[in-house]
Amino acid sequence: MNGIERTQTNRGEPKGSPHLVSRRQFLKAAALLAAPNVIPASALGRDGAVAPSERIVMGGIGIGGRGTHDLGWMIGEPDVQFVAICEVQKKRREAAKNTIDKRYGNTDCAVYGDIRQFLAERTDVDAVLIATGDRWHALASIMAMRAGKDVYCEKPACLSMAQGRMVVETARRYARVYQTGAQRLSEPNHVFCIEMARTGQLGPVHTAYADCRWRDGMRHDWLPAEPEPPKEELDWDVWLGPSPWRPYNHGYVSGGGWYHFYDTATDVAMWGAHTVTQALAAFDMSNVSFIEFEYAGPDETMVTRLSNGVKLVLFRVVGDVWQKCNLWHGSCGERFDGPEGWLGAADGYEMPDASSPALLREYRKVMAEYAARTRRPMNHVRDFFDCIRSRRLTVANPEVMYRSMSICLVADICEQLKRNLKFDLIKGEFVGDAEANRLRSRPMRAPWTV
Amino acid sequence: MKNMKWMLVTVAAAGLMTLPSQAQWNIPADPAAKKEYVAKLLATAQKADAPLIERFAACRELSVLGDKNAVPVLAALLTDEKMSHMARYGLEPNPDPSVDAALRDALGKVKGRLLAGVISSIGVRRDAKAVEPLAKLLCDADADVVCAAAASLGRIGNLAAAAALEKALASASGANLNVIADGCIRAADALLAAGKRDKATALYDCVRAAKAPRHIRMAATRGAILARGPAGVAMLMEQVKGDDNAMFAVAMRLAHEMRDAKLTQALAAEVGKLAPEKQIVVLQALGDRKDTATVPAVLAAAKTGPANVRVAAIRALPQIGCPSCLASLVTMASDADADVAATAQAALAGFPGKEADATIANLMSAQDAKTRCTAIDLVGQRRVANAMPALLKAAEDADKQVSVASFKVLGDMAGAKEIPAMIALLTKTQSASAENALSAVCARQAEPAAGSVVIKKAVYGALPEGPSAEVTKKAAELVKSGTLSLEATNGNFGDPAPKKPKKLSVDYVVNGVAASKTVAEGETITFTAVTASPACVDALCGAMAQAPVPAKQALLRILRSAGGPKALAVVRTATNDANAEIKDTATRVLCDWTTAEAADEQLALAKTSPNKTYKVLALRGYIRAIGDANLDAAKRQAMCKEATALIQGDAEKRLLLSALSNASDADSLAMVMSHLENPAIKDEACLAAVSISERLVASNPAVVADAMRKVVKATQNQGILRRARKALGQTRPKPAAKK
Repeated sequence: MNGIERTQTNRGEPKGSPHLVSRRQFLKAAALLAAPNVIPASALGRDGAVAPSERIVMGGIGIGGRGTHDLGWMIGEPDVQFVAICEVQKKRREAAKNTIDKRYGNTDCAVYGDIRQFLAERTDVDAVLIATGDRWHALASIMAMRAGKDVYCEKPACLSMAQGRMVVETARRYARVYQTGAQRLSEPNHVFCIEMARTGQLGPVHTAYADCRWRDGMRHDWLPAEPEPPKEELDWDVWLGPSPWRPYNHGYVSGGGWYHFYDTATDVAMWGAHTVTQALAAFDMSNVSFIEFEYAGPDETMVTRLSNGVKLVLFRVVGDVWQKCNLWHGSCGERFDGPEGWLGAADGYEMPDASSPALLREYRKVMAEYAARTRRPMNHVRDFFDCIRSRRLTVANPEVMYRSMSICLVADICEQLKRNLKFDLIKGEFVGDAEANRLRSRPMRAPWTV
Repeated sequence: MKNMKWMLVTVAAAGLMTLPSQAQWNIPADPAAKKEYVAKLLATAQKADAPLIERFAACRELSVLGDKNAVPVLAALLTDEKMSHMARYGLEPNPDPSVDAALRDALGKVKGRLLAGVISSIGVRRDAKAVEPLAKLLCDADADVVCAAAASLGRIGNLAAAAALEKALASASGANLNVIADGCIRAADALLAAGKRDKATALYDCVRAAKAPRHIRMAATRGAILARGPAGVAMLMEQVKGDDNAMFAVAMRLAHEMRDAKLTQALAAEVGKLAPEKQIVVLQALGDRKDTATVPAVLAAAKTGPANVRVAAIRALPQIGCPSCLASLVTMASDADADVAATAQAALAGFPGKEADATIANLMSAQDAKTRCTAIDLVGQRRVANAMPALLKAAEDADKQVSVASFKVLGDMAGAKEIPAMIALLTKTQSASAENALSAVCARQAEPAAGSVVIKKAVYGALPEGPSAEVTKKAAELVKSGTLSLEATNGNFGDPAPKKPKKLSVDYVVNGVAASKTVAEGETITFTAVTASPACVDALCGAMAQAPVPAKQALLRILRSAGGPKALAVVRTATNDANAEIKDTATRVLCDWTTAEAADEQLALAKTSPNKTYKVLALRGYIRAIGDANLDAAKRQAMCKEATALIQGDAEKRLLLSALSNASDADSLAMVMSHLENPAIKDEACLAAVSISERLVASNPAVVADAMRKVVKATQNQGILRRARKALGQTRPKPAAKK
């Protein structure tokens, strides 16, 4: 499928980069540079002989709606070859295999239902795309990196701070390349706003907004029990993974029903994993030691104050990110306010929103400087593949993921405990709130462990 | 779990097939109430005949609230296959030391998965007293147990745990070898963090020597290099020079982590000796390390060698940011190799610092025209403000491409100061490039900045006669915060007239020009400037008298871009000019006037002009003016009626629909809906209806609901359908929130 098609997934999330031209231009450039500009595939830590070509050998783990989009995006890259799919649902497994086989004109794509078997057997795989349900993101990432794979993992990348921290440590320990799917960090309009804010073009930014609208709270109930499907069709125990057991109901599995349940998902991070990442990218977070969170009521906009004086507003109301609001007119937006004006971007924008057109005049300059300073492509999966070859940190690397996920998860805990909280970013713990500290982890159901 | 049927039976027997939402995290603030609440949680957790979901929920809350008293209750559940995980859920975060003892005690009571779970919890808690029993489990027959034990010992990471893991590694094989080696590396990491550098180094080296898979040896090598501190640089460089690509990858990963200046020097010294594919990766790392001492090595690689290596080196140069390499980049910007040249140009475009600005500006006087063009484009990208005189000069360049490029950049960058010079250039060159550039500059003079909007008075309420409140201060605050639009909502201005339809009326000044606007509740006032700066218009008008005919025609067209009463007056006068060409141009400009100021003339031309072309152009201009954001609803309605009476073709109907799509009132919606039956413009009508409805839905949901139902039936366009359904959904009452 076309990875840049702007339809919606079953989550309703707009697919792909809105910057069609940029992507095409990039593909052209990538094709020119790809083959010779690499560490040979054998340098990536896999066992066995060097592949005939120098393509990055990929496997997909958990390829449903979003995963199909990512697969379509990645499979179009000229130096990538998918060889295997690991998916607990038979229908999805076969659909993903068909996509890959169709792309390569053969029937070679192998399929697996169990991640343990997949990782143990496929030592030829260099990197994996992880697009499972959220409950599996951190665990699968850690397992894959421990098996020597580089990881592109969809967001939210973890359900708890402890999981997120373990992703950071594992990536470091195993010298792995990891990218979380916060793809707007690789889209020009967002990058422009971030760079303008970061470089002081708005004056010292005093307020940043992140779109965190999603729904009306997390559920703790169980859906009515139904007979489990045959394991070959769907292994319910593996599907649940590290989450607490609950009786099977098809509603969790199809249509993204699991999004709504505390045991299998997060709340603020559903979109905050994107937008808080975008908002934080404008700030030197090494100067931020703590963040204070103001509880304003269920699903209300939450004001947080960073120790550097910046106000980070987690914009929340009952509803979803597609509803009209007065901060942006698209989904997944962020905005930066400073004394010299404001800038904001969201999905579907031709150009960022600005308090004055004058702020947009330096668009090309800012983007040229960004490209020269960072060498980042305006294509999130391409950045991942480039980093696999160069071994540098990705734009959405584990620390970037952990920082933004921490803030989202603290906001969730704020909602659960219904009180103001102060979080020490350096120590990774709440200040003066032992109860909140206990919510930094979610014990995993055995045999799953990290 | 192998079989969950028993759980289903439990669930069904408990009558939980349709469970309500379970409230969670309702923790009482009062200490006494909290104590009582915790007691209830404990009672529920251990009540064997309670519904499983309630026992799970109790354990989940005990993870936050459980104290010493919770430990024995939850510990007793560790051996219960149904409850063991949730018992750990409640125990693991509990800081009471008795939890550790309880978990250790459970080691001897459970097997298989339950044992693996208990071991994991011990690891999370880093219970040093558990090393001995965990060490024994490293040779358990159950792979899950071995995996959990190795991971937990690694997490505990003290000397005893490290010794146990190292001992087990010696005899491990297969999958156990991997997990024990992983445990060793974790333990070594912990030892290193605790300052036990020698012990950590020895343990990393032990794993490097083991017959573990390559990716594990890579991790061990990484640790071994870091543990050696400054001496690790030599070891890292061995990996860079060696034949093992996996270890080269580890070294390159570390080249992005380690900040040691000696490593930078070593990489720079080695890069030229490596194979090209390795050079590329090392050059990328050197770019990221941003050390100017590496410039000679990077520059050398940029100048000669395989093109892909040169490209990598050139890309590293602006990252390092040393101005001394700018001259070389300039040379490479016209390299025979297209990739090298393009990369050098991109590097120049983004090169940091004022020196780069000056270097690029100087390039504008290069001998060859191609370089001058490139330099002008780079000046435009970098927005080199002090290159404006050179740009004006280049606009007169004998080479047409240079001139065109210069005008393009001037159009993008020039300001009011350059307008007289650009008028002179237009008069002299009479080129389309000059006209386009000047037009863009003049249009830009009309853009309001937040600082140029002054709120004089703002009133919100049931205007004109009903209760209202002056909200000038609030409106001014909003504008001061950076917004250029005000939404007439209670959220912004309070509610001075509950349950009554309200309006917001604002008197304001933009760019020195006063204006007033009133909108209904839910609508938005956008502060758009209505004229260019007087200086800009004066300069254009002043040039008209002396300009030759083609330039005069161009100036008339530019006056349309500038806008405003004075510009319009000049155009009006020119419609009676003796010169037929000027008269024709002026009439066409009038037909195409972008705001509603010329609407009366446009309507008159559309009705009575003997020239059929003018009639069509004037009608189209009149219709476009209906979309003028400064029009009030009544005027827009009146113009729509006039236009409708004159429209004959579908092309004009489409224009009308496009103009109406900016409206936000029920009358405009009704007008749009009347076109739904016309198959040729049905989709345009649906799109306009949806656009209006999205603005109208908050204040008039009933009208929107009726319209959107019709749109949903009328269109098959998926995008329009989605928006129509969404607007329709917003007309319905919101369901109660689930918690």
